Amino acid sequence: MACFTVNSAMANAGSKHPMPIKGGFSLVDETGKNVTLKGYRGQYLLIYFGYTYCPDICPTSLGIISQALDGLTKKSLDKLLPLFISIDPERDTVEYIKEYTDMFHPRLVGLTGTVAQASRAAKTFGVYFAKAEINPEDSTDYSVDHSSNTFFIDPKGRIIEIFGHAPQVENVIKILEQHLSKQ
Amino acid sequence: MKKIQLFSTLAFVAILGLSGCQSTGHKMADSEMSHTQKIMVQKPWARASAGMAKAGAAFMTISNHSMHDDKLIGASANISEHTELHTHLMDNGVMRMRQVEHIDIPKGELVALKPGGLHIMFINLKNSLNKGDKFPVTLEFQKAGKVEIQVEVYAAGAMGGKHSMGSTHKMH
Repeated sequence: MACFTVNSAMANAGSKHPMPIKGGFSLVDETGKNVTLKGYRGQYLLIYFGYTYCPDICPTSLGIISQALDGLTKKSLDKLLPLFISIDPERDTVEYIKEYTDMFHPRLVGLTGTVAQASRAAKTFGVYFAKAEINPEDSTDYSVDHSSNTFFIDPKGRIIEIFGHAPQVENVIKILEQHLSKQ
Repeated sequence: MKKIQLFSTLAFVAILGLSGCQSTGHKMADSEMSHTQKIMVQKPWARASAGMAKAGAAFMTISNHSMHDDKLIGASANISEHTELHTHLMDNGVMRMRQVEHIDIPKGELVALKPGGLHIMFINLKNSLNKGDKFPVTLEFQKAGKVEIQVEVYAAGAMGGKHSMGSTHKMH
């Protein structure tokens, strides 16, 4: 499995200028529909990569994202599509990813696909992931080491902010509103 | 002896403050005090799991009021096939979850098991964990022995800290 790392300066970001995204993704959303990064142009995206088996890191991040979404004005929230992309598509089925994302926020949409599709999506965003064994007796039992960054994408398909793991909710709301409240 | 008494008073005040239940505060504090001489476990909680999720994690704070350093050396629960002590290591933005052999609980200190760090990990959950559920977990300390706690299940996206204190019980 290819490994990609996000350098820490980028992860801690606060990048002043939008960064164009090289590459893209082609995945399946939680309703079974084929979706692409390009197809999402025209709206703001908030993207987190994780996996539904994830017992702590993903719920922490998704909990913060949910709180931030609830802190936005309705007008701003309507402009933003939060996405949860599985980096464990072997276990994360379409049905399951829907059930999982719905537990956190009704607006949150889960995306999954084949291993190759998920790998390409992760590569596009410089997200590292690798399986880590947790139960030697059962090969389907593993956790996944992964970058815990959240990407904020503008309607032109550029990264305008990368939040590191467990950012302050207030700070996330502030940065999202700065962009979303623009006419 | 004086020290123990002082601690008991402090613990009593702390419990009253945390319980948020004035009418039964006294009774709770009395029953808690007899169990809190050495190891005190507060606010044990876990996150709700999605229907098919086979993994869960519990968090809590553990304080050591004994005169000796102690270690949490194991945990057991019948909600999952395996129960392990885990931590997260953050390496250049990448979160890696790893098993640890023990968790040091130094004398006079409070150790927090919290999201993104140390936690009790449940592998292969037998049933999903639903918000509002409570389930028992037995913690095993090197010196204090076994302590049974009741873990309360919060929402999937919970971060802890908003709810009242969980119960602790020292086993014999």
